[in-house]
Amino acid sequence: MPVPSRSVRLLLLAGFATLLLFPLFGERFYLQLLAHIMLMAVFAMSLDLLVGFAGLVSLGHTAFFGVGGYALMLLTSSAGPANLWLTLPVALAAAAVAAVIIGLLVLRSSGVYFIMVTLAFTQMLYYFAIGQKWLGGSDGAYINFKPRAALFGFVPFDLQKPLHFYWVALALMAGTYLLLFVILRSLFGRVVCAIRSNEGRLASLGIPTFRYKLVCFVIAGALAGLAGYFASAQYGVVNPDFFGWRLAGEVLMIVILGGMGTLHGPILGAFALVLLEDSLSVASKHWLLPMGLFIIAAVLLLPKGIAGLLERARA
Amino acid sequence: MDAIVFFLIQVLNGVQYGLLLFLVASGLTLVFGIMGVVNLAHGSFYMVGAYLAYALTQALGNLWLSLVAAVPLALIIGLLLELLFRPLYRRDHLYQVLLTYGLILALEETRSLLFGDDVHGVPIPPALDFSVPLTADLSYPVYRLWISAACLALAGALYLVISKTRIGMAIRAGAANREMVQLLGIDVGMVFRIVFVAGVVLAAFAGMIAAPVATVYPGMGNAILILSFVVVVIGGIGSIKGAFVAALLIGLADTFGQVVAPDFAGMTVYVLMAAVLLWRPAGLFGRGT
Amino acid sequence: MPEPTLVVERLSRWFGGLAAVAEVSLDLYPGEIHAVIGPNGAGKTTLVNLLSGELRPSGGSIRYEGRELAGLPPHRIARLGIARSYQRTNVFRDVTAFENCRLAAQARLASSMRFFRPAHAYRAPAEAAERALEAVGLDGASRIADTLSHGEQRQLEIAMTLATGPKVLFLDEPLAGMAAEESARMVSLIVRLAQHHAVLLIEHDMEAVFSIAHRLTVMVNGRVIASGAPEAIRASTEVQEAYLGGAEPHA
Repeated sequence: MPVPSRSVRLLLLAGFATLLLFPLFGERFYLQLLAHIMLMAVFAMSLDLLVGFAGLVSLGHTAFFGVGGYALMLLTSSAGPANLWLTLPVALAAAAVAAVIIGLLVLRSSGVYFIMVTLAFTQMLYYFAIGQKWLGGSDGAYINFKPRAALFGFVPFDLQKPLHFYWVALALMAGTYLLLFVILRSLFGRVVCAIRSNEGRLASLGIPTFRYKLVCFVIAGALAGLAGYFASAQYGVVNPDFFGWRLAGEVLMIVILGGMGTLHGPILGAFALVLLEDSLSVASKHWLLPMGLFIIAAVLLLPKGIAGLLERARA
Repeated sequence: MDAIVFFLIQVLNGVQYGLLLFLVASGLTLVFGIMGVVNLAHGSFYMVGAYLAYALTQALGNLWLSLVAAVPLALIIGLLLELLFRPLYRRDHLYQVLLTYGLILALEETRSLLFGDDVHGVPIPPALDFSVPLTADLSYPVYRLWISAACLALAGALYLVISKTRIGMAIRAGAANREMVQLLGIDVGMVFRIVFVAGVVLAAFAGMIAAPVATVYPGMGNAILILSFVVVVIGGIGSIKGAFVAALLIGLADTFGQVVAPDFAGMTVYVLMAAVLLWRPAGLFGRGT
Repeated sequence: MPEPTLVVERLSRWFGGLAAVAEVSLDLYPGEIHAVIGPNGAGKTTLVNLLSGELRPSGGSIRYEGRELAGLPPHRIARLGIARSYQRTNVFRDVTAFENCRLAAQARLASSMRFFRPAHAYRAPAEAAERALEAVGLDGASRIADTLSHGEQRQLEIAMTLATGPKVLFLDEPLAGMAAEESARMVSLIVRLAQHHAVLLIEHDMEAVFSIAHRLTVMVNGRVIASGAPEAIRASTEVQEAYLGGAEPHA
């Protein structure tokens, strides 16, 4: 795994410190936006594990994000909040199971096929969500209560409070970064990176690559489910667009814009893209036009993303 | 008796939908197979066609006249877009996906600027605006039959071009093996241009003739794009025959899905796709991996 | 004479109506260099692909230590102690030469489903990688594979097969495209390797083949036309007509 250079590491550390201290001096209004960005960063890092490290270009990663969100909706009763420590593991397990099932099917294909098939499976979930009344149909469903983090009577934090939610999102982003850092450094991680480079050779050396791809797909799926769970808690709503191709394209764009194959890339990409979207959409009703043109320009001019730009600026 | 006629109507609807889908998917599968380009914006060409039909019918007062004007316009749009796509040929699939994703957003928003976000209707040409009675209370609109006939005629023409002409031979060779085209001493750039522009025109034409029955609405290109993907996956990349069979299959599955299991409408085609993938990972007419 | 390690019987592979490998039988003993020669398109690489599991045989059997290999996937065959090199360099281009060999040695571990302990904390694969690099005499261990010279990449190719700790080696044209000096070093390496491995060698360099092989099998159009000691092959008129074009191969 390419390790960022010293100066970039310092820059990242400074960024993390800023986020840590932000609530002390920043406007409360931005807490929600930043929490949203950090959850998108978790989602994008999980996709980067597939795209940037294992070389699996998935256009259907929203499937697991959506499953995480819908799981929370189903587990939250109309009477009161669900318990975080009970419902989160269930939501993660649901996303993981979905990843096993979809992975078994899609990982048989590769290249262009993989891209189309992953998109098609998310689309299947999209129509499933639209057709089912118990999932709220095409309008989606509200989640009236954010999950409660009570542990035997002790409540370490309260997700209802924007400040607490912000800390949790920051912890999730940092935690996902560290988890993936450790995983990518492990024996498993070395195999995953080698799959992108030369899968056939790996098999001829004696490694059954399919099951490594599947496990990788499931880890990425569970992390996407984690992001979906908290995103739906934040918005208080889930709808079929959680599975939509627009979100799938957006999160893929975050990975590329930030710099795929690095862990900090998706984080930088999430901040850059979401902040850009936010300012464009304030400026004009037709913000998707400049957004589309920006994406085209960014892909043509910055194939290695912001992370690549930083490394170049240093050199 | 009514049950049988009802069934027949669904079959006709399914076939008509499938044939439209074929016009869109045939270009998509060739662009994949020959140029190796994943084009998410292919569905937008269908949308462009529908909006061209809408705008020109407003201006000229008649769908026939607007078809005559719109096809050359689609051709010109195709030629211009081909210039934009040229840098994509040698790019990684990932970048093709994102570039064409950006293109969808830009095209969709341009449409919104020009036409707004309302649903528009295009009148059925008066000459075809009647129905054939099937029983006492069931009848079938002639315009839909005409759509099927037009698509079949185009599919037949496509078949003739691909199986009988020199350029068709190059296309077939290219779909089977891209390097082969070079070996045959054919100008690869020319083959690409023809395939791409033909794909744009076919998709746009499908959008034009579908406009009177399907209406013209925002996001119409994306729904058909993803179904076209499914057609390509089921039929096998680069196979026109596969696209034809798969498109009919999808058209029928989707139509009957809506009737038989409305709660799961829209899902049927994906279940079908999953089943085909389990059975034949490279599609019905795809080359094995 | 000891038992053969590998026994191939009537192995065939058809592509459409064409037999790329037709009823090939051969065997391989421990400590032996068994060379397979033949003109381009004789089916030699197809044979290796069949033996390593990358292609499924249409018929015939491959027995290794009493176990049937035909139909097993490549990773299963590799784990039984059979390693192959490739005619066209086939390495992990974006990592160092050392990491290439370490990965190969890692494949020997019972499982790589280990998620938390850093890969570099595992001593055995690292040591095996160092030994393999030393055995082939490759210096640039810390260089990215893509930046190695052609000859060095060929050495790396062999080092990776060694790092998996195999008993049997299939070497597919290890000398291809090598300069004379590199080639000579590779030849002496193969001779050394044969002391501890059974080596099946596919090679075009006749001088090298006749100087180091204990036995030769000659393939033409997918079939074996002769098999035996180098002297016998050199003397065979059939081989000379079919393959060597009537000219005596220069030894």
